Amino acid sequence: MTFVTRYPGTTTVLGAVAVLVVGSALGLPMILLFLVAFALVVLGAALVNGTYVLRRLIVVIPTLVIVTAFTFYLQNGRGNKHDLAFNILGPGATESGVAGIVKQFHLDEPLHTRYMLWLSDAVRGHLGKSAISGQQVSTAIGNAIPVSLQLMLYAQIVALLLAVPAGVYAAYRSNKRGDRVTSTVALAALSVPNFVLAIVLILMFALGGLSVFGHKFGGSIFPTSRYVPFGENPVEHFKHMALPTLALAFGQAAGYMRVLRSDMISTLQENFITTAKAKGVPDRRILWGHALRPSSFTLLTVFGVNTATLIGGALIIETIFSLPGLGTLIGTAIFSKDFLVVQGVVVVIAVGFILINFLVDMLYGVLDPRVRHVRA
Amino acid sequence: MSLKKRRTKLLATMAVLAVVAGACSSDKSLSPASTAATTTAAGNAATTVASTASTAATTATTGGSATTSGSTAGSGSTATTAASTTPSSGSTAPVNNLANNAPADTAGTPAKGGTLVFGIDSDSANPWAPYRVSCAGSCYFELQAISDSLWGLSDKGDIVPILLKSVDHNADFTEWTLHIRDGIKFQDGTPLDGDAVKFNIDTCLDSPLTASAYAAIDKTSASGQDVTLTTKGGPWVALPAYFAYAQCGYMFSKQWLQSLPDVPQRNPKAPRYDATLAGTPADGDAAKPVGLGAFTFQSYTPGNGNSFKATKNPDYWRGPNGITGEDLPYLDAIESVVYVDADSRFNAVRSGDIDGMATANSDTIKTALGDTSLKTVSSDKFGEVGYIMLNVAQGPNDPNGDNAKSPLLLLPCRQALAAAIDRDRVAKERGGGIVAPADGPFPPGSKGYLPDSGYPKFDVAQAQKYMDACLAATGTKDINFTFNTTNDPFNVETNQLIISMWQDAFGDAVKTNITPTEQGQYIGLALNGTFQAFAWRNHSGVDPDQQRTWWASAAAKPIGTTAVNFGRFQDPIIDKALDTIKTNGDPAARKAAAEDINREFGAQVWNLWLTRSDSAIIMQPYVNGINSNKLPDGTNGIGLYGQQRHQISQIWCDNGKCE
Repeated sequence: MTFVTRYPGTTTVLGAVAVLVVGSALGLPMILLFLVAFALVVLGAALVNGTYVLRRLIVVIPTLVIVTAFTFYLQNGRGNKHDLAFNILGPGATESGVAGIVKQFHLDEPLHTRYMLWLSDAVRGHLGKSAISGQQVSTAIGNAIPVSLQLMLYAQIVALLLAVPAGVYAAYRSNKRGDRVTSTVALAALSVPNFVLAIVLILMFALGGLSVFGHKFGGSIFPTSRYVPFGENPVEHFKHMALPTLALAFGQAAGYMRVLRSDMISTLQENFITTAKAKGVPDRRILWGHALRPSSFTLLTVFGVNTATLIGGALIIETIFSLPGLGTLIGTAIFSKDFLVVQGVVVVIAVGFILINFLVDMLYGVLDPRVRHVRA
Repeated sequence: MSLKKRRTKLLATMAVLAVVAGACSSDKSLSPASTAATTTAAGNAATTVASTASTAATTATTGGSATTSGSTAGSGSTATTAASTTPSSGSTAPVNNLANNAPADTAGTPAKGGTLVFGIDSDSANPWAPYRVSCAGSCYFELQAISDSLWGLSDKGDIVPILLKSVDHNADFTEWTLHIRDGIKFQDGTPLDGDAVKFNIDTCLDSPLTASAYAAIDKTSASGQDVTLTTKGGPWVALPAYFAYAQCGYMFSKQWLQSLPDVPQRNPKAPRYDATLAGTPADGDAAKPVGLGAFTFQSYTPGNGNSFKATKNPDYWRGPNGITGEDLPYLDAIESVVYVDADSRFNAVRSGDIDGMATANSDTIKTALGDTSLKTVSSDKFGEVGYIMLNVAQGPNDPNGDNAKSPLLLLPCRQALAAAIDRDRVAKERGGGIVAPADGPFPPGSKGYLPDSGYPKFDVAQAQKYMDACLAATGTKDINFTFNTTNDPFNVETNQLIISMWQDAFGDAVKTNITPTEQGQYIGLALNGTFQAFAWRNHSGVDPDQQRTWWASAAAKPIGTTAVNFGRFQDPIIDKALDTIKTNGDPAARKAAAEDINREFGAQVWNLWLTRSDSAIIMQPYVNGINSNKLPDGTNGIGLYGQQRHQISQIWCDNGKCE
């Protein structure tokens, strides 16, 4: 109880992780698990930061209106208003067929009227039906979110696991050979687009390996594509997620490593570090116990931005690996002008983006008590 | 460092990182167009859009897709390479054996069991009831698994009954009576009788999506196991072709169809509106089909990476408990998985993730044909043709004079453009070297095919003569016209090659630029006739009558009005031949009429033909029977043909294990 009272933020984060792990093992719906986990983290942030949380939450509503209105305009304010009908009916479209779809989707209404129609439905929880598949948009999103969230989660975990030790090491060995090697590798990783890396990974680890100067690297270790739910087969799940995770994680890790290195070098020049050294505290403890936490601000910010972006932004990776996530959902919908699906996914991505960044803001207070005091 | 300074530094760092991340993370910086370009570089991202959009035209039992990807062709042939476990000293050359259509993958005794996982290129919009599904080519995988068709095709392309015992028609082909096999039941236990077939056909007659294809049917009536179809507007000889392995030929439970909210008979404006039916609960799900086929629907989730699953139907009418004494299907279950990206789909087969895939991508087909670890069946039977469509609307079809100054209205100009295109080079460079050039709409083996249609051959000197005549007629130094293609980079590059050929032949005398257009808008331009030159692919089908929709003068309407004779040409010779094909029961006369059409296209150059289209099934070596199609009467049916069409129930895996 003392720990819970003393560290409410840490407690709720651990609770969120426990919910994800236990819930996944029990085969509970991933969307539900993520919602519960997220609610726990928000609760923790509220306990740490007080009413600041509520003030930040109010910003979400106008942001969502602006984002959805802009997206609606981009989707519908260009091209022929009958494009959706042509996409559905194809080259054999008839006047009556087009007229039917125009009526069904209010395509002849002014843009603002159509947006208000959509908005009034959306606030009541009705995101509509996909014009292409006929599936409820909420169902389509519900099916896609777990895939994207899992991919995002795994990619970020792997990225942090790679980046934090590398970043700390590079800072510790600043401007020495170890730093230069680490930084060069990171720069190379940043310079390779993730879809190129994805194809290399497929060639190397799924299609029998790559031959370089007569030597073969890799093999047929992982599948090239498809998604297997964790609850269906955990081993196969991780095998299928391995390559897309790595494809996303390398670039992220490189960015994180560079950011952490930079901040860490700055922190290591602070007076309290000098004091710790003078007191004979071992380097390992200085690095991991004293310097890492205050050096994580920028890392946390970038982590938040990247995490939110990955929710819907892994379009190419999801496409290459045939993962039925939000990226492929919105990509396909954009091409076919299935605007209700686009709107629905945009809402989810926008909410995710806002809330994750909001969460990052909250975590500043967890990382540094001074932030809490300033807000208070 | 103070908190304020730290925050300032943090914001500055964030800004820098945002720029770095934007530059380095392709995910978040791509516009839709650049996404297409990038993913196409890795495969063919536009495949899904193009296929989804090929839709209603396919509904009408003919094809039509807004692409000119240099996919494919052979020459009326089925090519097969069998996997070999023996290392090859060189690549296996693609096989295009004109004389031998015998399916090479049917040898051996079929084994029962296994689940076949099959990669397809796209979902179909509004699945799965035939009257509503905008059937992308791959949707036939699902339709053929869940149901069977009234008519099918023999290995020679003749129309043969499948669900029908026999068919009668009167002397002038205005009344057709379909005698349905006894004892067939849908998967919900209801019988396949005249009433059920009538209801199925009625849904298609009144559906906005399919009605135009069946506009020649006036009345339907049912009695017991019989259905009578009465035509309007005269005889309709080719009626069976419109129900032969075609969307509306597949029968589904009347009970299920009646439960669907949008079934046309519930629509008060539909000619066959049924007030009683409209008053009943509409609680059915069109995405959960109830057919009578070899497999029973299990689940379906749309989207890339998702799948359609079906399991063996124990009461299949051609199974051990059926009426024919056969033992179908061989597989226990099937699963079709959508792989939007063509390379991902192919990689999935190569790595063994899935058991087979369909493709129309010529590069993939070429690679697969040379891969001895895979088994590949390719075919251009009754396939599409890629071409450049020309808008020749004039007079009443050009009420505002939009097209009045188009040089494409002049025959010498069209001939000049045609003669300057090296179709062999297009086939070689854009078709992976396995496609055949086309000089007419009909592929070898089809009614109407001619070895020489009279279409202008590639001849730069002759092309220049035509161009001189063209310029003399226009009175200008050059001709100028718009040229649209989809925004698929492959298509853009293909048509840039065409323009370069014109420039090689005529220098600055031809002025045109590619205008890439996104799919939905592209189809709209075609339908409304707001184009001059337009890359296109179409005209698959087993009977030339199926092209009536696209070529009849009556289907050409004024620019700005929806019309499926996109080029708006009005040709009395073609009209006369189409009428003969529709009304004359004499096969020789129909064949001659189709050949007349081919020759007329060659003479008038209404379209600039480019290459044939091909499709292929690429499989693991343990998968057999893709080309198998033993008909209920024991004769051989058609194997792979058209847009990746093949049968499902006779596929089997070695030892009953698809692994």
